[in-house]
Amino acid sequence: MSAKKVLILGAGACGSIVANKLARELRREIAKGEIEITLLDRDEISVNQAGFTFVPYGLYTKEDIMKPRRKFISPRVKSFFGSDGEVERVDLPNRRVITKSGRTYSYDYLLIATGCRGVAEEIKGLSRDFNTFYTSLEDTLKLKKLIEEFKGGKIVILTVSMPIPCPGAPSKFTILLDEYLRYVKGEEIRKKTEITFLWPIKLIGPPAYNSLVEKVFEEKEIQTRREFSLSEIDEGRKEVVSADGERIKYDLLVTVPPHKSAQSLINSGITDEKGWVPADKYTLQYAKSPTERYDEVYVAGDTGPAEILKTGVGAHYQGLIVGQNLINDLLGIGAKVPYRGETGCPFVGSMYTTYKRGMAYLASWTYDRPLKPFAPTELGWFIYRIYYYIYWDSTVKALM
Amino acid sequence: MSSSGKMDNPVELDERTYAALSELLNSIKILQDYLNDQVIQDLAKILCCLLKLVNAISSTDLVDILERGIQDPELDRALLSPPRVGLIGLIRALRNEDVQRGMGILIELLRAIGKASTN
Repeated sequence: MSAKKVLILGAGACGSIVANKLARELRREIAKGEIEITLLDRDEISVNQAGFTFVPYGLYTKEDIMKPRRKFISPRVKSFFGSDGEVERVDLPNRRVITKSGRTYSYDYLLIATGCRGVAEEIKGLSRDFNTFYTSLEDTLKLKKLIEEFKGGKIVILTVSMPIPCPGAPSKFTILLDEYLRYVKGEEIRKKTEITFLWPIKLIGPPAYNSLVEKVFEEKEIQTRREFSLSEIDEGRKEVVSADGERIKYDLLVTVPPHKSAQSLINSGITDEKGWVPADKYTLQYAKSPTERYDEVYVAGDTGPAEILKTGVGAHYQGLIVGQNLINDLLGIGAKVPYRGETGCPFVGSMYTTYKRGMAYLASWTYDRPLKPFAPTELGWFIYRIYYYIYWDSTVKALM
Repeated sequence: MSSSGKMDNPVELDERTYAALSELLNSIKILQDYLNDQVIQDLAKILCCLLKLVNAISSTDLVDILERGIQDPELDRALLSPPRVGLIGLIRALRNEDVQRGMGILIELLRAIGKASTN
């Protein structure tokens, strides 16, 4: 009897959680050769992308948010990185995946968790003045230097369009920026600085989250423009140009670029009209249309459809749920654990400095249970801070 | 109780419960006041070690075997007066099938530890 094959595309938070959960709970079946778990990823290094928001303010370092994957993926999982792990084509009807090296992997069950990527090049002028904490550690460290050297002027934080991963991060970054300029650089620098937050839709998160951001922004004199529709960046004149021709000057532009799923998935013809991989929002099984469904294919994390919020908390829950459903499928247990939209977004009210204690809160909600009004706490800050240190040994290993 | 099964008035607190809650909240405040960003980082290092142990023991059947093995009545009896075993005794013990299986596990464990130490 040949082994049942589970193929996992992407070793980010979600893919790693599923791989490690299966490796732990199906260890006897793996040892007997009845089940085989394979994990593919382009990179050997894993990144906790959520940590980028804090790096410019010195709250986390490279060592805190980047680790070699081999240290955190169970040896029971067959892992392939580099060109053997970089997905080139996904062939759902024939249940196979081809990688950049030309290697073909067949599967009985597939998880697509390849995340998403920023596409700054799609906005005219943006690539020529692109400062961000959304793409890579290199970009984030470049931005850190710009902020450290900032002497005053106009800072614009621009989010081009939705959906983006971690939609709470731009407002969190902005609150931290104000705190950093006010309490670390010194009040004088903050007085000489004008911060403008450009946001593409009406609300910044769920209504309760939005209300609190609005209040804090007001207290901090951060100017907010909602439903801002971007046309281009005029990097020569250092201006953000809106769709209706309005020009907003900046000295430092920080941009959250538009995001898309992996180009190889788009090229494989498995994405929807918006460029995301379609899935049922409760089962997370691939569903492009009522007739084009693949129950053996799961989709989770940032690559999923636009209607499923792209957050680290969401990826965590989705990983645990997909992992359990794969176990149920593989062992023939006729049960399904539903994804009820468990998601969340930590809110930061203030940064821990010599002047004040940090304040934060983990706001969470589901499809049918909206976020209630909340207030950040001191313990919330410490819980948030400790979480990114233990993320690797807890979340990535599917322990909690 | 409402038709959905929810309690209409779910919490009724008496004086002792209030006092216990107050004590709990004050204790949390001690923890809150104790913490700072450096303490958090140091605590995280300890927690990571503990989590590695949790992952290790929850990821192997070796723990189940050890759990049963250390409860073996013959081991209990031996622990009352541990026997002295020399080289001859060791060779004699190796003829026992249970000892051979135990050796098999130890050898495989050594092999796996050696392998893990190189990558």
